[in-house]
Amino acid sequence: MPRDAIKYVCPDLANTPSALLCVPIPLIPHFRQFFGDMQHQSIWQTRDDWFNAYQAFAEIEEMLMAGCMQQLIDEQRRVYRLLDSALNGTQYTDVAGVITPALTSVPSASANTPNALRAHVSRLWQLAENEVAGVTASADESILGAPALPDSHTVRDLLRRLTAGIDGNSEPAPDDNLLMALRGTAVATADRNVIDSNIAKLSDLLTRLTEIRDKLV
Amino acid sequence: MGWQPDETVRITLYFRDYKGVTTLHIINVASSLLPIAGAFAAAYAELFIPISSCALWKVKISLRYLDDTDPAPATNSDVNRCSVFQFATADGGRYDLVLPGLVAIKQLQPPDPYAGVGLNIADVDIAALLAATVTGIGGTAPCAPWGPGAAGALTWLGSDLVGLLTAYWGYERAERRY
Repeated sequence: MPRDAIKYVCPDLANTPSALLCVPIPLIPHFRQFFGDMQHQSIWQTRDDWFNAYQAFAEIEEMLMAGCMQQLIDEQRRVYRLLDSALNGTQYTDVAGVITPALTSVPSASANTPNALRAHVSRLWQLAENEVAGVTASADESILGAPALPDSHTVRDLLRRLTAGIDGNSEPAPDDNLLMALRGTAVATADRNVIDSNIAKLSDLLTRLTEIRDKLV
Repeated sequence: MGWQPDETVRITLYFRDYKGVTTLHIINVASSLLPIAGAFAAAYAELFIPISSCALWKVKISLRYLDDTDPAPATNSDVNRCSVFQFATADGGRYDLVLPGLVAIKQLQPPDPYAGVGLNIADVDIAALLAATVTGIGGTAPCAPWGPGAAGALTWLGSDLVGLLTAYWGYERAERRY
């Protein structure tokens, strides 16, 4: 190419849409001549234009040799690893392009690693059931290092103790439950209880106070 | 005998005019003078400055080696058929190493979908050539065509080649060499 010929400017290729082209594999060797031309420094205006164009065409070359699918597969694997890390807590490492652990055909049946979303959701479910219904859970169940969830200090346990404290309910009643304290130590009956007795005493007291007032007037 | 150095060292001077058109001039010295050929070339080039309106912008010194057995090329040989080895670079880029010539038996074989086009990078001969191209032979390592010229792995814009991405054969213009 003459040195005074018009040279190409490599367009900005970041975040631009792409077109999918299906190339019969036997034709790929013929494309190399085109790639070679496009990767030649002399046709580009600046060194940056050349470098960017070189990389872009080299990437197309690689895609041609990957059936146009390798990049899509890689992206899918990235999504799988993202989900696997979030849901199951699997920790992946990338050492010089070698990613471990290798993908398995099926995910694990359960996950109890501390950063697994599944484990946290399971733990939240256990906490709710434990709080409301008193369902117990052993330590390390569903999430590593989590304390055991006993059936004590739960909402269910609190209600049970309150009702037992008031009238015993169907639970074993303490000797000083509230109703017994109000009614006296005897078992409550329809015609004898502390409340009626006190009302009667208050009524007598009111009568006596009225008599005293009349005498003083 | 095999590979023998040529009897002369070739010194090529490149001139360029204001239109960007280039031409060259060649002078030879005995191959025994290779250690001082650089100094000779520099002194020789200085003599053109007062008399040439063109810019003298490059001098190349080369000692050719010739195989005096004059091996015959295979009947199916084709300089336009090249092997393309694409490497990943440490900076996340790619570099195409294009080597002339191709032996058909180095291609992938059926049932590989790229049979006849992709190259078998597990082939020991290909592996040996790539190792020599990238890291050198017997402690002599190639260097980048720019930079200080220090011994080291072949580099691309200052980045080391870190892994082979793909390999295939393709038609390349015969005059282009990397």
